[in-house]
Amino acid sequence: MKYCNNCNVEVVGKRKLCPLCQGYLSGIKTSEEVFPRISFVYKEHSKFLKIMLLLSIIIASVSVAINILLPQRGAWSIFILGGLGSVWASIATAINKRKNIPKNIIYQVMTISVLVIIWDILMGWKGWSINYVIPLVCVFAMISMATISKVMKLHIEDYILYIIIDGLFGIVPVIFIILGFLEVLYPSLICIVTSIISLSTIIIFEDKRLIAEIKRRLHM
Amino acid sequence: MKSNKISEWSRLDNAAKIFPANSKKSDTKVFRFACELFDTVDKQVLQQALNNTIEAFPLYRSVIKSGLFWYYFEKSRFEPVVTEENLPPCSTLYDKNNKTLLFRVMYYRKRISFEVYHALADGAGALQFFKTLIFHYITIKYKYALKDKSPVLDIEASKTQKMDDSFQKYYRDTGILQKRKSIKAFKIKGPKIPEYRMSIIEGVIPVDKILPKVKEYNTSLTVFLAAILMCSINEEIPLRLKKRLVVLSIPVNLRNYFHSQTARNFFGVINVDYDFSKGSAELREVIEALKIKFKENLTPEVMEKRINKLASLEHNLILRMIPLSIKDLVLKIANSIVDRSYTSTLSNVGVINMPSDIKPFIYSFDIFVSTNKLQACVCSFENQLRISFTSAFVSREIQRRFFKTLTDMGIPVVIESNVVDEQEVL
Repeated sequence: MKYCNNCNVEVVGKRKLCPLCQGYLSGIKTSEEVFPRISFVYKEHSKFLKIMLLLSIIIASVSVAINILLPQRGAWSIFILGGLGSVWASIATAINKRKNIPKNIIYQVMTISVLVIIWDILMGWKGWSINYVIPLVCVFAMISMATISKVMKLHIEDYILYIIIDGLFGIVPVIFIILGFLEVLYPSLICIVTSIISLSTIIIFEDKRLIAEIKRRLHM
Repeated sequence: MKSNKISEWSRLDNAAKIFPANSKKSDTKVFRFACELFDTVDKQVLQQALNNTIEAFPLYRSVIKSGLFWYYFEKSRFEPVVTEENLPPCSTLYDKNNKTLLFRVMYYRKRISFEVYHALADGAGALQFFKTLIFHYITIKYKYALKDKSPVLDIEASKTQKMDDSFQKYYRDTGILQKRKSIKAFKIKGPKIPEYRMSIIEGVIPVDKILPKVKEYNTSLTVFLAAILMCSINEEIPLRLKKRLVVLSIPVNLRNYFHSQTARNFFGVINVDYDFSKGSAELREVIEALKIKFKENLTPEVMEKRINKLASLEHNLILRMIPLSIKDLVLKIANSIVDRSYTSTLSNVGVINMPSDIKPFIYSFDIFVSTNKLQACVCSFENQLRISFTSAFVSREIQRRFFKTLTDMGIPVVIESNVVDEQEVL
């Protein structure tokens, strides 16, 4: 084994310098390393994302500047900022939850719903968000969750909660219909019917598992 | 494979509750036991030993999931797989977006390493698993050499005893511990190793060479090592911060105070401090002061109050009704306050025993823990004492001074370490 004359210790491994004092070791015989050498990877975030981020910042700042110089057309740059913000919020959710697809879908439904309502309000409330976008996003989420869980052979307990959440969320348009918020009914009706079918399927066929899952998730 | 069984689940024990909220890349709350044998490890045999072991430790099949109010263990369908070591020591095991088992078994040359997420077990609990694993490995691998003998492992706990939440068992609604007075602890500062890696420096020391020295100071090994560590840290304190106290946090195995054979968490922590601005920096004086601090803190009464302090929070109905995300936030803040209250940690796992027929096949045992500061773990097997430092800092001055103190006393030390700086290697 190598020896450090400064620290008076023997050193295991194929070393040149002492791990304690960084001085040169004496002795020629080396021994095997105790730990495998794992090189530093300096993991970089995707270059594509970085370029997109820089582009977003350029577009945002330039458009705000132009808007300030030419204020005649109203505060249009707010929409550009909002649009960029929305896209990034969605991307951030997707990246953060990428390992858990059913959860990712639920988060996307929530993010998109909130964002479109904000957009609809900002653009003078035409009602398109609750007439079309939210019900259709919900239906799309339910269909894709059912497909993905089959294709990826997910275990029922890994997604039962998310199906239920999406199903319950999909029933919310009932309130809009009763309160008379809606001008176009068919997207909401499709969404409500799909939700009822999906919830009933789970309740009828997976009742025990559902109760167990609720007990687990809600235990105090 | 689809099973029709409804997944079993269980609560996290009292001590485990703080870990999911506070695990991060810089401090993964993972610890490692390693065992060095005399031959290269056989992957197939190790896998077989692991399959046998997990049967006796059902909780190790769990993943952690989050409910609305609490985290919980849910039995998973993952099968544990042995891999060749290819990760930095104590890499992340719990990631809330990527569910995996909460332990891993790896091998490298002659070493078997077992890493555990702290929410699952503490050192003494995980050691039961690891000893069983090594026991199975050796009995399978060397069955011809062992054919006339029938070694028995000294773990008699039933599956239920191993799953026992001993914090719940020993909780009584008694008076709680009065608040510890807040003290300003010295904080080790300096550049850290990139990628949240840790430097591991282990000193291997013959037990029969160090014990006489410990006797000379008329103390216990833990106090002796704690005092040397404190003195080594003291040398690093800049003059303007000399008023700060050196505080060591010492985990205590509560199984020594209350009857329990749980393979989960059952530990408490005591803090011992020393004020170098008032007291002498002489080792003997530090040891004398520490002896008193240890004696005051390590009584069954103080330990019981400590259990009750933590458990009373868990039994408070209003606190139980707070949603998990808010609990997480509170626990993070609490943890950062606790983090500031100590300088470093010294954890003595003690003597590791194996059946006498098995011992000849084992060279050594060691243990170390993830940290974003500096931490020392101690354990011994036969005549080999191992003091393992894990550190997030580039500088190794404290470790150097620590071992220098030992070698100056005439105690021989062999250093084993991982490579964090490629320039040090031939």
